Amino acid sequence: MTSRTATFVVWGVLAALLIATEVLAVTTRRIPTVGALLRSLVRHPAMRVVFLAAWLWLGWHFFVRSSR
Amino acid sequence: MGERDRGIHVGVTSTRAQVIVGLVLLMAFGWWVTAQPPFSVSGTIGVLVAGVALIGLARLWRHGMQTDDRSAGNEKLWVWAVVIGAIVVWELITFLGHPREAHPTISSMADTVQAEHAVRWLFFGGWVALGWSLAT
Repeated sequence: MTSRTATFVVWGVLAALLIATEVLAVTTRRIPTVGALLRSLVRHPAMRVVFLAAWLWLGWHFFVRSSR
Repeated sequence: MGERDRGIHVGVTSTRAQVIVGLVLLMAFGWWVTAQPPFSVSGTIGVLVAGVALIGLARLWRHGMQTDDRSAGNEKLWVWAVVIGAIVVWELITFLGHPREAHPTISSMADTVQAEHAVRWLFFGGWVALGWSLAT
């Protein structure tokens, strides 16, 4: 298995884990959903500012910096 | 329905309509933003304008609508900390690995997928949705 394939396999496993966690959260309600997680993260106004700044950077990173 | 209730109902409906129109216009603007060349000033300004517009719409929504104040339930947030922590660790490992073709990061994979303008615009929609979750 090449490094590239191995890296993609791990990314696939992590993506599946992320989706499975959200599905588990929505169906069983035993763990918070992504929405609940985000709400808890931005409950404090200062944290909301930090996360919104990070979100703006993410927009620049994907839509401006992109080397497409 | 009393006068006061009717007034509140009209106010909520008006806020909802304004926000929906604003989001539709924001997505239309997103088509232009995602058409800008890489590293362009127009692209940077476009992302900033879109971000500020979304924060403004979210503020309008928070003031005009009843926001969801339910407790998120901090217990078991550690499950997400483990999942997100694993993604961050793997991103760092791949970021430090070379060459990039052998160790693709989230950004390099997204760059490949975003070669098509329509797909880039869909990514813009996801970015708007994430910002909406954070800002409302």
